[in-house]
Amino acid sequence: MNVPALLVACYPPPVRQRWGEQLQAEVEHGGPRRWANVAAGAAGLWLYPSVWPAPTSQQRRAVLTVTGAVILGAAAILLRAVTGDEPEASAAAATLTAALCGLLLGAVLLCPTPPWHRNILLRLARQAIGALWLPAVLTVAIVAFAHQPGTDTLLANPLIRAGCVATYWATLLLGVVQTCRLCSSLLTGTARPPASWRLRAGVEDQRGQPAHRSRRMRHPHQRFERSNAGRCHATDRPGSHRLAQQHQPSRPTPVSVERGPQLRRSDNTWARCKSSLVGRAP
Amino acid sequence: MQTNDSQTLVLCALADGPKHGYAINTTIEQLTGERLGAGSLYGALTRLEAKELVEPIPGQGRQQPVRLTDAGRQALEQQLRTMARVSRAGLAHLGVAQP
Repeated sequence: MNVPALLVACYPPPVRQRWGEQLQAEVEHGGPRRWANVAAGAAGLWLYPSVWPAPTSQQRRAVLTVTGAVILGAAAILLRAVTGDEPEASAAAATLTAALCGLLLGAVLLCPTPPWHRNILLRLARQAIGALWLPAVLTVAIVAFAHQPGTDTLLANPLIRAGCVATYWATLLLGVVQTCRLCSSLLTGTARPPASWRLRAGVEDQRGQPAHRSRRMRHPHQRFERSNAGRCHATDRPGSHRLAQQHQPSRPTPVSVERGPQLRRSDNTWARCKSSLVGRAP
Repeated sequence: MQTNDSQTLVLCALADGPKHGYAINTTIEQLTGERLGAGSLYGALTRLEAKELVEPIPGQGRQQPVRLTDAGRQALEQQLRTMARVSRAGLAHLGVAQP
């Protein structure tokens, strides 16, 4: 694989699908002195999944799932950084345990679901092994090294100790990055993104709020109705117009839930998800 | 220079009509004397599409040209007016004759 193709492969799959050929042509035209810019662009896009191209509801849910995975990975690394090697039985430790449980629950809720077909599951396993073999091998090596007799003597050398610590954190970081890439690549082909309720519950759970609070995100004078086309719409409650006019200068427009209330830029839920999870796009 | 300069440049390049990525960068090169890096260019295009300031033209094959939306045109005009105001004020404070 040549370097321009490798750099383009570092981009998030939806961005590659949208711009891949043009991007690669531009990278080849720019030459090696532009490679750093290309790598920085890829990193910037991974940090802001909210800007990835997502024209359909399923793709928007996939993007939000990857956003959740990125946040989850960052939170897991931060959690590991703030916990010491020997966590004490204290209120802080209990809080950290609760935070870890919340993250795990969020991960389960956000997990993409593959169709239960043998060939697809085999492909999924191949993708998972391809993405995670290196962090897994490094983890086994670290554990094996830590349990070797005489490790303490070796670790007395500051260089070896620094190398071990660097390897440990690099393995953690690589595991998180590869898990996010795996999640993203699965959602572009093999697996389905989680349903809206799981997504909403998982995001709320990761934010440390109970999932039922997401019901409050729609307008107080709106209710969900199913249309003839089977789509669910938020519409005004009967008799609420006068109240709405008293409280708001303009009447809220109906929002299609099928397109995803948490995914539309103009909707409260999407705005809250975006602002609280990924911040404002640069 | 600001972090969203590349987005402003892309909007400027699209002001006179739809273009694909390479043509956008060529226009930017004519404007500034330097091409944007591929990471900056396609990062800016991705962000501008997410903000609905540019949109792809359907059915144009592999080149996938993009054009300004109405919102993009308004945003560009507003930004250029602000930049012109700042430019006039800065040049006046410096005592430099305006071109």
